[in-house]
Amino acid sequence: MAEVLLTKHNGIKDNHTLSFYKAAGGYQALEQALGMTPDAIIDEVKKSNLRGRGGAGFPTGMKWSFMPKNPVDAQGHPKPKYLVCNADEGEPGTFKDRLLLTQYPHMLIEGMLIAAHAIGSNQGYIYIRGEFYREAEIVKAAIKEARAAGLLGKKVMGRSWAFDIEIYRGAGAYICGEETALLSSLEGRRGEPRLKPPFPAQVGAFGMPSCVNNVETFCAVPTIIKDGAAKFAAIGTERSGGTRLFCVSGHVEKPGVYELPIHMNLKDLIQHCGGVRGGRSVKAVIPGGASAPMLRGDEIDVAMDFDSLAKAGTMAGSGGVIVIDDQTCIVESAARLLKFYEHESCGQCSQCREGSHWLARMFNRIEAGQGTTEDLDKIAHICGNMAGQTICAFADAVTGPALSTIRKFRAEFEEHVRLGRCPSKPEHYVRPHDHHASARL
Amino acid sequence: MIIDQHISQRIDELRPQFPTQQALLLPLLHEIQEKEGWISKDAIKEAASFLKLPLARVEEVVSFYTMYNRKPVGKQHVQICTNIACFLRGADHLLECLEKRLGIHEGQTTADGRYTLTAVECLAACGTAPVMQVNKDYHENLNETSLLQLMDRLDKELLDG
Amino acid sequence: MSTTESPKPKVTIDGQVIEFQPGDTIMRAAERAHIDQGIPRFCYHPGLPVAGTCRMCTVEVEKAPKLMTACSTPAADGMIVHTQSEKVRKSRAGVMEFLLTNHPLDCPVCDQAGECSLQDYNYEYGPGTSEFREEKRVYGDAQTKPLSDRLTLNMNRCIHCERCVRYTEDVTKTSELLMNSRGWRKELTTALEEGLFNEYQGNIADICPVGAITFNDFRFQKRVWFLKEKNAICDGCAKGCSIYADQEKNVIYRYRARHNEAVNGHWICDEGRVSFHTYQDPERVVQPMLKAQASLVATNWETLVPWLMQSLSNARRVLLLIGTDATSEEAATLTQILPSFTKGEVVTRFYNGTNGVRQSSDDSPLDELLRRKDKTPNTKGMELLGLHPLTEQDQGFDVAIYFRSGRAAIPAQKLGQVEIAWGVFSAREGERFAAVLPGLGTVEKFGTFTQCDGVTQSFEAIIQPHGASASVKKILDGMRMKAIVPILAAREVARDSV
Repeated sequence: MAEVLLTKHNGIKDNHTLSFYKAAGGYQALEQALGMTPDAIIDEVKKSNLRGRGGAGFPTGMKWSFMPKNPVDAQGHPKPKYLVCNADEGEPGTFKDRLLLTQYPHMLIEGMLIAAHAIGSNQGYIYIRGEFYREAEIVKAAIKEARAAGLLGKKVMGRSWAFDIEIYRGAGAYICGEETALLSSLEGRRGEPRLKPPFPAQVGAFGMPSCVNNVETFCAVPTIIKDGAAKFAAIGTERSGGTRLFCVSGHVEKPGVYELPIHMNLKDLIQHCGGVRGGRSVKAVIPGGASAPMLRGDEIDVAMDFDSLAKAGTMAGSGGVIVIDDQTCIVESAARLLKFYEHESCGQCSQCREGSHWLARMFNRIEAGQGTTEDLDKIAHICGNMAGQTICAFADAVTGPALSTIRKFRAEFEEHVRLGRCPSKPEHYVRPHDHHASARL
Repeated sequence: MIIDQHISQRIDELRPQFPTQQALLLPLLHEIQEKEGWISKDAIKEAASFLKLPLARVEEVVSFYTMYNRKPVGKQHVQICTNIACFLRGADHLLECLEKRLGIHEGQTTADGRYTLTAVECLAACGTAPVMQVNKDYHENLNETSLLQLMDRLDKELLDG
Repeated sequence: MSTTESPKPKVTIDGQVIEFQPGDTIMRAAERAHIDQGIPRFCYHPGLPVAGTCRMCTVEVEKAPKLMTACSTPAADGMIVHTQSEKVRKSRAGVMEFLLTNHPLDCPVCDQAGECSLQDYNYEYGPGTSEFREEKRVYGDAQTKPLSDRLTLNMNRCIHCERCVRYTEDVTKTSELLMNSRGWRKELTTALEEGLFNEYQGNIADICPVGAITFNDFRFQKRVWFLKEKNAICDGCAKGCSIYADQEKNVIYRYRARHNEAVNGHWICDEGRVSFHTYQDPERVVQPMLKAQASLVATNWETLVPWLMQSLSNARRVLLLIGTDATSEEAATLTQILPSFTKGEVVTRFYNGTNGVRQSSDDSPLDELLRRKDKTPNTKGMELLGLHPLTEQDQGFDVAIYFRSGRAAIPAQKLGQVEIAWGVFSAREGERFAAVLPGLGTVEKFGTFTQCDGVTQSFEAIIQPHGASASVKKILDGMRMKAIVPILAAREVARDSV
């Protein structure tokens, strides 16, 4: 198998400690980076073809280059610049941050240090989802170690440059993974995405220029600096470098996080995870987190890089691969996904607030056998009015599972309508009481 | 006083790292919930005056984030994920087991105040689904047997105080 | 000198090329050129920070891949904007459909009907049909609940534009309102349900684009399509806010804020908003009154005018005390003409008496928004006429005439042997006087006020005089005519008073 860059030491005792990380060559990249100019670092990251691992796949080097060099306020005083790590993992099907945070916290810290040097920041924040109590404790301990070792603080590695990191815990809102919502939340507000422009590089956290990157993105930086951009780029495709942490869940024999070349074939990836549980066949795959449109079992012979999946009508997103076997009701799966979006829409924009709710109700109703053929057409109409119409991409994300399931598994939906019940459940199945079914608040 | 010396000290430690008072709101609410188990009206009032924020800015934040409990919860807050990855690996059945064992529905607290059962959306541990969080800890790769063993253990913890 | 200026940036909106100020959004540029009618909006309000969330104001900008919200997109030189393209109209139909899914559609019983943005835009942009087959969202058990003692909330009608929340955060800075929860469950409440406590709550009902928040004083009083809107000036304090007075059949039903950047921006206070009631108070004296034995008795102008002339002509010292709620025209006319009816000395003073204010220098803001300590509209105007405030030395008059429009106070102490009330008085106040000459309230006359910041504003009459109330001009004309041709004059006055 191809080379593993980030997760070489999975499961090894004390792999989260500074001494372990240093013994394995950790913080050498930082030493090297501190000897480079910020421009040279950005250039190297650009050459590596590293693209953001949070979901959008935006070129990281380019994002860093958007940060203003010497921003000043109206009075001519220099403005602080903030570096923010998005560790608000929450896209269903995605669980790689947790691995990195608990086993490789120093890799993240080193990556952030290098990024901070590149963009000229003195303060970093790690925004970590609130449910990750234990994970936050581990990262906090690592930050403490790094401070004690002079890697973080007033004089990073003895240089005249200060950089420190503070942990900020979320409190249960998927939308805070959206970078501007994350910034709102970091400011102690409701996690509501903001209008762009202005972009965070101009007006970010606390109104200051800010750069937000995903945990895995930061973790890829040390190896790029240490081993060179060329090596990293060589692993991926022409436009997308490196390995990727694929999170495989659902009906595979061995679910888990697998670090593989970014252009790994999906079919091979499933085999790599031991294939479908119990020797069944693949009915559908969500290739890039819940928001990514589903692929049918006969569509999975596809490379997993950003561009190939986009060409296949879906997206690489956050790297969350959810495998659904042939015994599963796709309507129920879709209803479950839409319930998630109904629950997580921040509710600012009309289309998203009302649309995510409307869709969730419709899918729920169709699954219960109370749908009509008109409903199936109506879903496409609703999605058409949601996508591309709102402040952030959440509304588009809602339409991913809604549209793809109905387009690719229409017969199964029609079967629910025709029978007036879910065909994969016993004829006289009584649905458990659903507390969320009522629209009475 | 809900915001005691311990809490105010923890928040004071964070202060230098944040340019605004408001940024300390989420950490403060976490501290309060850690102590109280939930965010009461009094807690909202105290948090607002502690950070010199309008009540509305505090209340709207408390209500936006699902982790902040707006009513008291049981000593063991059992939160089971029922979304896609956990659903595919049997979470619905586990939820039924929990409802049966605890004698309450999802969203309720047992009369003795020992357990609150909540169905949650994605805990970001789909590779080890089905997953459940009890207070601060994740319990993964659950099946009916391991779930019931876990519940026995939680019962015992409560008995042992 | 303007030749050195660089040409102003221009944007093309629906084929019309308009100039804009740097920093303008598309919406702002369109507003300046008064061509914003084609851009519907719910969350946008020119007096509030931009939210960009209702997505109703989207427009098509050439070369932009997506539709842009006019409220938040900066205008750029050379930008070409279409507000009515097919793509735009489809998007708006989508927004309308979403907003109507959970809306109760109870227009027949909704007080906002007729001035509801949701209703109006639905005619213009709505999809026509709704295929929402789910159970509608219902908040709580009661359809309505009080948001405060002045406002009523019907949450089911709310479209979550959050104008009200931003208003209390950014305009009144009192921050009572918030959205509880998130997503489709979002619910407007006051903080910890403690209610609203600002003095500008009526504006919230004004800016609520639907029937979710209504102002109790107006609620269910009148269907809005019966009302005629007239421009007016609020006379409730020295600020002189621009308002709309909505009336039907000579009855005013409400005041609303009228945008005037120089004075009140987009807002008015609650006290001013309900101040029209003074003029419709059943206790207001609208018939000429004359004291007979111990109490006032209704009479007519034919009796009262000669009585007044008689009183004046016999007096050696007359005090003409003009309330600072009189128009500048009234004050000037009285000052000029009244002395001609007496051989005695006439001392003219102005009087305010509200909140201890004597003259404009005693006035001060009551808050950071609009309200003033001086509860009369024209103290500055009196000073501009060269009049002086009443002093303690001003005593010992044979006749004291107290002229006012219903806002200025009346001095507590007796200043004349014979005291005459002229203008707007309630029956309770009248008892002190030898006679009451019912005059016009601000809403019943034209005139000019100079407000606290020195802005002079003229206004027209909104309604016809109540009862036999008559203008200063008519009464003075009557007195002059009477002096020349007594019988004719009496008839003239009598006709006017009908």
